[in-house]
Amino acid sequence: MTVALKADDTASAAHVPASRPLVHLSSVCKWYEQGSIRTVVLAETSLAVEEGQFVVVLGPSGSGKSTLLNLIGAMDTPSSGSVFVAGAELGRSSPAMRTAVRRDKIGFIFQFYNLFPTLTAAENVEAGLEVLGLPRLEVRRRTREYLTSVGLADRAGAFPGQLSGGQQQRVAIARALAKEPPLVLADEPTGNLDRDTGEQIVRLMRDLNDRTGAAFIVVTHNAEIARAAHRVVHILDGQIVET
Amino acid sequence: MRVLERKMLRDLWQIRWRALAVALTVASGVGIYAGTGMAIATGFHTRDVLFQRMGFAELEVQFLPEDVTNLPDLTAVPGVHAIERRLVLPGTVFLPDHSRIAGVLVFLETVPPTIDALEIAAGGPLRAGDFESAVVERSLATFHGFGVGDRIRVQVGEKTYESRIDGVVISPEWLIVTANPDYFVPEKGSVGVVFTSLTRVSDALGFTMVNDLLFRLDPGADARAVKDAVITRVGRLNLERVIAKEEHFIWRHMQLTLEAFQVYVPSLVLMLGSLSFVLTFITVHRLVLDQRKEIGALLALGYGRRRLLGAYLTAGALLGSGGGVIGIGLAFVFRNLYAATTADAIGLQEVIPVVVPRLLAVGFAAAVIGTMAAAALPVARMLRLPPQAIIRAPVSERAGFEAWMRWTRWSMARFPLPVRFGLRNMIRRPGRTLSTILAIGFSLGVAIAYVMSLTSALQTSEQVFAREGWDLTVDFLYPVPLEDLAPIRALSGVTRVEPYFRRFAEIGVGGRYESVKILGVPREDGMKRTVLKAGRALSGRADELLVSQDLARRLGSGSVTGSASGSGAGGNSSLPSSASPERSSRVRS
Repeated sequence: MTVALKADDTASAAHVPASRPLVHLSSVCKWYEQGSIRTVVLAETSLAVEEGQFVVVLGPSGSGKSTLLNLIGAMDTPSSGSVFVAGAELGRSSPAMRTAVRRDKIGFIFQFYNLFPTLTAAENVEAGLEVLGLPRLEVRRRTREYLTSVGLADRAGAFPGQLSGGQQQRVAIARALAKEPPLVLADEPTGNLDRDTGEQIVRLMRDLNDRTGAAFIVVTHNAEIARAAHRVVHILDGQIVET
Repeated sequence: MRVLERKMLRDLWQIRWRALAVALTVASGVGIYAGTGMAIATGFHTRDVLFQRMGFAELEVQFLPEDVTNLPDLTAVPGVHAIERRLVLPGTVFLPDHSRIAGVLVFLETVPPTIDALEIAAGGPLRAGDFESAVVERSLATFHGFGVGDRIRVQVGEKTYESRIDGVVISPEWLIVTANPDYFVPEKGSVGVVFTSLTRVSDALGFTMVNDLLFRLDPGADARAVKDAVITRVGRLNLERVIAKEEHFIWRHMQLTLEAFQVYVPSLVLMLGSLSFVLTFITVHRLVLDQRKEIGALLALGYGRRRLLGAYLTAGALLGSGGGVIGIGLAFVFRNLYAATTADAIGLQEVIPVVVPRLLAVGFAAAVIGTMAAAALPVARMLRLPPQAIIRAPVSERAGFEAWMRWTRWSMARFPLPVRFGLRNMIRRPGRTLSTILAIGFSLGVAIAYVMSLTSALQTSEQVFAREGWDLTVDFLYPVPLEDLAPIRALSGVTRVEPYFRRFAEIGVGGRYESVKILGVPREDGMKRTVLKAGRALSGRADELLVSQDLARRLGSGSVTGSASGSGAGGNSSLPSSASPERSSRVRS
């Protein structure tokens, strides 16, 4: 699977050699300042994730794992250090560039699904595809394909409120993967689900990781998910302590 | 339709009642703005159409009754197209219940008249050769019960004219209910107007006597030049007044009535416009807060800020358009309502509505632009944050909120729990609370200001009348010697009679002349009081004048030149002060 940045987006992006991994963090810090108080949430963090890897980031609440995910996902900018995703340096790039990276390179899965309640399951998936500027037929094909792959082809017309938590998360996974991005970021994807449903979701993600070749970075405090990972990264108090 | 736009429409549908409230508030603003504007335009249009239709006199000359053979030939005056002559006599009308009201008996030389033409409201026209035939102005029918076929008596001086009512008519001179203060005290129906043929008087006298000339001018004629030429030619008559169309009571009264209404429109529009903006802002702000996770998710999916802002702008435009369309509909309702109410209040029987597309377009555009701005502001504010801060409550906002709540906890510690609960609920969103307070303040402010302004106007007029020292006023058809007032002075209950002398005059400063009534000198201790607004009181010199504020404004400042009609006198006067003028002979009982 190849997803390329649009020409105008890549023009302003800072490039790295082709040998560089899909995700590369170098001495990344993130802090928030409130008056004279500086709260460091991520300190001197370096990490590399290769294409197709299934990486689990484990850590307790408040350890900085979601911040790490937000920086990789171009949802926030680092206070210092550099974050490269698919060749684009996110810390120094423009908001438009970061938008383009999110659009073309990354699929997001959230703990609370963040589906659009007034759109059906199919429309939720379409919402992720439409922004890519794909032809209408292609949007429909991919929507069908990915809803089928998460086992929800028969619920395409249902609104999120009519679906169970597990089904909603599967729609969110379909939405993230239908874009066919090289990288999928999942923030506590099973955090809001019961144990069995959570395991199903993990199996589904792992299966899709194998089938699509997309790299997954899954942030969780549930150690059981780690069993499915190619690699586990432990984070504590804003620092990666083990990888 | 694209998914984002579909989503926005469905989101709007989800908050349809709030959206409807916004649309209706916007609609009210548009409706009031365009509706009142069109109502005022309708009033002016109706006046103009009716005056055109009924051939309202473009110039009227009033003088003391004169034999027509003594009148100069005015048809040769350049610009004069036609002249009709009348004898207009004030008197009293006997009502069916044997009471009397002030009246005007108009003897028409031309039947039916073509200048100040009469439109038949009931019955038929005046019969020229029939000495008993009369038609009455509709106020006599509306307020005093006169109908076609009834007999009516009008006393003029010592003579009583009895007539048969052949018709009820509408006259442009009395287009609104009869209450012309040039004649009598203004009150609806307080003047009874009867039209009859001039031949009745001519036959009795053996000659034709008139005191009123109505002029129609040539199209494009210079009304001012014609007026000056007419005044020059009739100078030797005992002129009472020379009135251009725009100076006629009915014209000015309608102009002032409609303009007075216009004064309140901007404040109403401002209030409703502000309310619409605040309400839209609050509604969209609420929607945006509710949707922050969705907005964050859309950003995560790769939607750009401009695209999202565009979607909310579209939603704002939809709301504004909806409100604008409803507002345009409301504008017609308000127009009809206001125009009908105003017409009813002033006694205008016919309303000819007009549509002013400019007002509708401006109202609609303001609705759309205002609503879009109100919708865009909260979204633009949120989109300045990083996407992750949008999905989660941003640290800075939470910190601000906590600091605010800490302050409220501290400041309300002494209050009982229920009070603290209520107050904190009110102020936990200070922006919204402030907006609500402002909205209430606006509404009450405009309403209170409206009532206060009316009360001020009422109190001012009451105070002005309270200063007056007279109880009854008597007008005479002709100037009378002072000794002829003796019977009035001798009347039971009369304690004091103060005579005034009133004439028509042209008065001007620096070549700019105005037609005015000149009133014989009011005394310092007279019943007719004046309030000096500028200058000084009269010192007794013969060349001094007091002028009304309105006239002073029109004249500007400087040395006054004037001439009183018929006297041949003229000269310069200093302009010592301005005050309010009036009337002729006053009686204290």
